[in-house]
Amino acid sequence: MLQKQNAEIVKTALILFAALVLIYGNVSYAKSGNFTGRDVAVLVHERPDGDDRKVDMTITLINKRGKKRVRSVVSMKKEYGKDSKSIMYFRKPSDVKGTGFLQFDYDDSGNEDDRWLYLPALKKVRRIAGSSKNDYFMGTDFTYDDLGDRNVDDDIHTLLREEEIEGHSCWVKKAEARDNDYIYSKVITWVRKDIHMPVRAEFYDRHSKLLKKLTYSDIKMVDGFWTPHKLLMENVQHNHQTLIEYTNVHHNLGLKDNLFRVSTIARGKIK
Amino acid sequence: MILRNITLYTVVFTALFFTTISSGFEYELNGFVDTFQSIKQNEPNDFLSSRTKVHLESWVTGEIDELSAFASVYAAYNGVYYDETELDIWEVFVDYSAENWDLRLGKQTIIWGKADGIAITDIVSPKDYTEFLIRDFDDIRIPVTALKWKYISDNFDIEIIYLPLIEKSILPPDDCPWSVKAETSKFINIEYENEELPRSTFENGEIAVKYNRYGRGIDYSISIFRTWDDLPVFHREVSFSGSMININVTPRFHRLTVAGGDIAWAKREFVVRGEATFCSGKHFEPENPLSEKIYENNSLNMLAGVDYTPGNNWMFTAQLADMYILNYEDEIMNDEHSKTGTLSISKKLLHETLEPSLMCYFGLNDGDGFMRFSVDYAVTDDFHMIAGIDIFYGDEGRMGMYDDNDGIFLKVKYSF
Repeated sequence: MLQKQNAEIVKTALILFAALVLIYGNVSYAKSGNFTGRDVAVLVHERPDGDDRKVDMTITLINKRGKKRVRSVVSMKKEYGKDSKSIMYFRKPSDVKGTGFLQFDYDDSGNEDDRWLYLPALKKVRRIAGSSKNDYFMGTDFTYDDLGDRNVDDDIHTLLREEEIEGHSCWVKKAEARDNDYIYSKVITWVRKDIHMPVRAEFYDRHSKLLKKLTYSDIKMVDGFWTPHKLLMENVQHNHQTLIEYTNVHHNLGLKDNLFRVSTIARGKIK
Repeated sequence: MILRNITLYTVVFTALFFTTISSGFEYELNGFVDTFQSIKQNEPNDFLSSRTKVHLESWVTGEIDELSAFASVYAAYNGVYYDETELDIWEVFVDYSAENWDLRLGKQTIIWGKADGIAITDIVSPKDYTEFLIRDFDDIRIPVTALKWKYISDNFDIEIIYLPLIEKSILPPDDCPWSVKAETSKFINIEYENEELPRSTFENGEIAVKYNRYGRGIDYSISIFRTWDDLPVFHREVSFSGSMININVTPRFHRLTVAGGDIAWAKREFVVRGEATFCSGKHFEPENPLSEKIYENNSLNMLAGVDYTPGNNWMFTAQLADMYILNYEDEIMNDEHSKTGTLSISKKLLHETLEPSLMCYFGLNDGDGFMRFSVDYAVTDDFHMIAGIDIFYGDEGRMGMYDDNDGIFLKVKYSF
């Protein structure tokens, strides 16, 4: 009798154990088997960062001799579903003070972004081509595309591995552009699993040689949203760096729609 | 200091004063110092231009968020034209910016149009042609005294501008390398009467209305401007005394009504631009110097242009413009079609610290032209040096007449 009872207990335990293995195994399988690089890209793209934000940016360009050039910019952005509008106004240096840049970013790759530039020396707003995203922004090591939001499906994403960066567990994924004319052959990104934020990226040129390294740091919670306060882009081929530092970061300020109008940058100043 | 329009400036300065005396007013002084020197390539290598300018400007804001004021002054020394050595106010105005409208009162630069270096609809601010093409087009606009009200919506705005004071464009004086030299004869005696601007009355004021629309990939505007021609027409009275021919020339300004529009359409790496005006009331002089007849004909001014930015900081711009005189008569001095082309190529290098560029004007009627090749180097962000060569070519035409004025130039500019 006792022997029969023990056998029942063992049998039940084995069944429970098998069930646990099955359940846990399925979860693990879902994480590493069904979970894809595209899933990581979607998590990053859809990471909540508020309906709008305003930030002061200090952009420091450092050449190979250590010489620095500093720009001071105020930037504002507002989300309209998957689209967004952003405005940027230069406070320094003196030769570009008052320069305003307005962009309407459309998520649909079939729709070109609308961009306008106000140059104080010309006192005129100029419509500029929306497709020159591969150009470098104001002499920095960031392209317009680096600073903007690429559509997730503009690239083919591959989950490579998991890695720990500064004590944080990260997904490591590769993105390869579907557009053969894109300036990068691939971009490797390390994404923190806990907050879905990139912390490092490597950009490879069309010859698959490392071109640039990007590091996000000083990541802090601001107004309930994880926000990096420093971005350092190093162009390893040209030995040039750009450091972007964010200060006075605010989310969900309730920025008005009328801020994102051509007439705003045409005023030559932003309040 | 030369002060015009005392009443207007009193109002503006009073507004500035009350803006500034309120507690917590803020201002930031900015400006630049620049010098431009151009020497003729041909002997005796005279100076074609020698000017140094200090420009100071400041926005002033006070307790009232919507209210701000702007003032800029300049001091300039011109080593070639002593008449141009002066100290004066450049712009001074008060702004009121409400949520959906702006009001600007005072002396201000008003720029219309989408063209580069050619004025089709950009005729609100007159121009200083003292140094013809060797001065940057964006430096030659003369601020005007105006009340400008703008209604602003999300994707359009409407401007209404009233200009009570008539300003004219400035032509090169007689004693300078850029003067237009009339043919003379020992049998012709020409006397010029003084130029008189129309009296500044309410009825003589200028008024402009413009509608601007900003859409997906396309911007356009339409406008109408009741104005005065900013250059006089030279009316002649011819008389004979013996073998001498006497020509008495009276410069007169004429009313114009200009209806126009412009468009900019962006597609991939291209921005296609167009601009056109229909001008009513334009007067033209006869080609025969002894003819007293002045012709009044409507005219069409048109321009088509394209910007191409293929990437890697390259920029290509090409434009074709035509001024077409309607109901043309062969006796008119101007051609029925006056066609001009422009071409501009530039590239930014070394993280945008170095920018070589080529800019060309082509006179398609006379086969003449102007080319400027320059290199702009940013020693620091605030300190730029620009050096280059200006070349005029052609045997006749507006640019060919300056064939002897090829020059080498250097410009140094410090901004603060």
